[in-house]
Amino acid sequence: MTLQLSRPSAGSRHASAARSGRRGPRRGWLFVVPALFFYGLVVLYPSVAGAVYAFTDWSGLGSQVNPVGLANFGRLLGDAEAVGSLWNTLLLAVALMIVQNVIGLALALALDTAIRGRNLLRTLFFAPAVLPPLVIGVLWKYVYSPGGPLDGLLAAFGLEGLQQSWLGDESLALWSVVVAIVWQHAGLSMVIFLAGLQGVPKELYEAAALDGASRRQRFRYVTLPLLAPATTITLVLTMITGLKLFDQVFAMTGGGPGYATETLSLNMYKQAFVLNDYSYGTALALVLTMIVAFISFLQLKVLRRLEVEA
Amino acid sequence: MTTSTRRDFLRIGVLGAGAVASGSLLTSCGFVGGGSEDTGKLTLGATNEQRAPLSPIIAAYEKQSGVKFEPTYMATDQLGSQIRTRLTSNTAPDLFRVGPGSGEPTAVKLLAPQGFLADLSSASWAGSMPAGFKPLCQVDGKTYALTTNRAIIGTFYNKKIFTELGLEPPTTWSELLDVCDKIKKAGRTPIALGMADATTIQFTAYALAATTVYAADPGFDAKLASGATTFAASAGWKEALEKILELNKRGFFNDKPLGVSLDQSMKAVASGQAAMVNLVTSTFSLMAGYAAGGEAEFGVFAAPGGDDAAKTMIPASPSHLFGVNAKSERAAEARKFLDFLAQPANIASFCAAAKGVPGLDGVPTDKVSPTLAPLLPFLKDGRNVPFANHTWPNAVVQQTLLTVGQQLFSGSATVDDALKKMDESYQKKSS
Repeated sequence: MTLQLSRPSAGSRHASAARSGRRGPRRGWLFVVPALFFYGLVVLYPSVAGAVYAFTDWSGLGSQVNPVGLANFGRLLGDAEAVGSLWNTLLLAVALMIVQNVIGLALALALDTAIRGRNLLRTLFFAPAVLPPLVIGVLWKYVYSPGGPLDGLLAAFGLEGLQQSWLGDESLALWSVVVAIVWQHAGLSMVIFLAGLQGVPKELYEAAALDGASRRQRFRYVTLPLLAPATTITLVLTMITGLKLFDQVFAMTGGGPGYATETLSLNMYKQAFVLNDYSYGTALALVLTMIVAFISFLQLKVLRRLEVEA
Repeated sequence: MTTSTRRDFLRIGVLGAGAVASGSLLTSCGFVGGGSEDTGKLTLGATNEQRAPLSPIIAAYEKQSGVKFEPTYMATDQLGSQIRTRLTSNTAPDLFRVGPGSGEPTAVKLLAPQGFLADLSSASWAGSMPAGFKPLCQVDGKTYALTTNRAIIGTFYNKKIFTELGLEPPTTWSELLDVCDKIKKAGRTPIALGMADATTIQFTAYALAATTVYAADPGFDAKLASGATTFAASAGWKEALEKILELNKRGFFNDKPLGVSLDQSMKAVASGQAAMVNLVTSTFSLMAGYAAGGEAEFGVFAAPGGDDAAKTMIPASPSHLFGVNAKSERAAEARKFLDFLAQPANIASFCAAAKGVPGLDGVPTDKVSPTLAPLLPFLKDGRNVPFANHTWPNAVVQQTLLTVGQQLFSGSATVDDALKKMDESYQKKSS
């Protein structure tokens, strides 16, 4: 294996950036400002304004608001339900990140070939990603119902012994939810990986083949390193999606049975809108925000380093 | 260039994701100070289920009074959170659906003490409110809601199955077990239970507790509130939950109840796969819709919680309540509409459409579905108590029951655990 992949040096990257940005950053801002204005008005301002309530005892009703400092956050630490939902959220996010991307990559590799009907297959695999999450939740609730399509499929293959209470068993429910969400989003990861694969010059494969690299070696030493940027994007996006998960879980299990599938987002919703504990719900929202930001930054940093090493 | 752009994109994306993670909740907090446009119409906030019963009455009132309405209908939970936000920002509708007691976002006993509901005590219909409803709709002796309906929990059954097997509706717990046994031996599911919807456990729990708790001790709620007793110390609550588990242990519920939805359980009874299901009357109309013959295919009996039929009680609570926004400029107009709605003919037609029972005394029950007839004597004789959750001080106790209810079936909690957790939730503040 003599192939050496050269990456543009930092100096040349900067030079390139300087050339393309010769007209100055001002024009770039012109394009960004309108979107930033509406984002700030609709998301940032109300979010920051709303976050203040995490430090009060406001119930969401009336004008009686008393500052309570960090009491809501202290309560969170001793709240077994909140800690349990945090654990569920992390499990879901990590499982989704791994399984969804492995399947997405496998699909991308399979459909980056000249097989017949690949465009139709790409569309089919991507289609669930554009469906509303609630629809996915309701659909899979039906698929998993006792005597439903999944049980029917197992029975058709003589596998009645494998039939389970997919969403009703505390030890299975979380993983059943993971399968449904992977089914929905694997196509999205596939599309990102496909875009990455199509940016890999074919000449590199030819050169590697001439050097005697096997298929596995070509994948390991050509494909994977050049897919690193796409991998970074899809891993970070998947993790963020997993940490914020709400709709599908809400529709499929409502967080149950018991607390088996309750995520932080679901707990936040319940506290604020079912139990009328708005300030505590807002504290949970802030904690979720910090967790998403922290994990994503950390992930980004590690993946960027791996990209450079690759 | 590409790498640099993606890094920037991801950094902004991470920040954005962080904000959006909590966006819906934080945003809704931050926008509570909006304004509303005066359209010159009487605004009404009601649930989707109230659209059909209310629409003809509103149309008749518009014709008679010349007042124009602007109704908004939405899902109950959505309406609840919206009304709270709009009350806070002084943009709430002139009249809106409220809940009994303290256990839901727009419950009378949460809104009235903060001055959001108009005092309706002087209305002519206020004296017709059933005595049992007053603790749920009054604060300091003042009435704050019109109770159009009574919702009742009963055990609905497929008449065809009962006829085929020669069964009579049971009147005691032992008879219920006997009936279940015969149905099971005939190869059918005796009782359909859809525990995938956590709310389902309430129907059976409240139905049994009406007898096991309140028939034995009518003053239980007062003792609970004063701290003289607890759920854990209540033999009646323990008995109610243990009886649910006994039914499960004997195989009288469908297989895998935690994986079955309420809707599927109703379909099972409508199709004859299962014989009985515990339901609230307002949900019964949904099940009737699944049967070719509609309501006539079903019968109902009071769930027997004990072996003395004379002591059986049923849960009956006010439902489809309406209150008037105390700060509305049209509060007087809204009150006039409630007076119109409270007329016996209108209450009767509302109940007929909502598949309920009139929520005011003295309203004829001739338009009530004949299926519900076996439950009416319990109302007449005073053998009824409010749904247990309507007497609790906050929504947390009910939510705890729903969650531990599922855990009872999965085996991760015992009856004692469940009652202890309900006690802990009972101590939390109301809001």
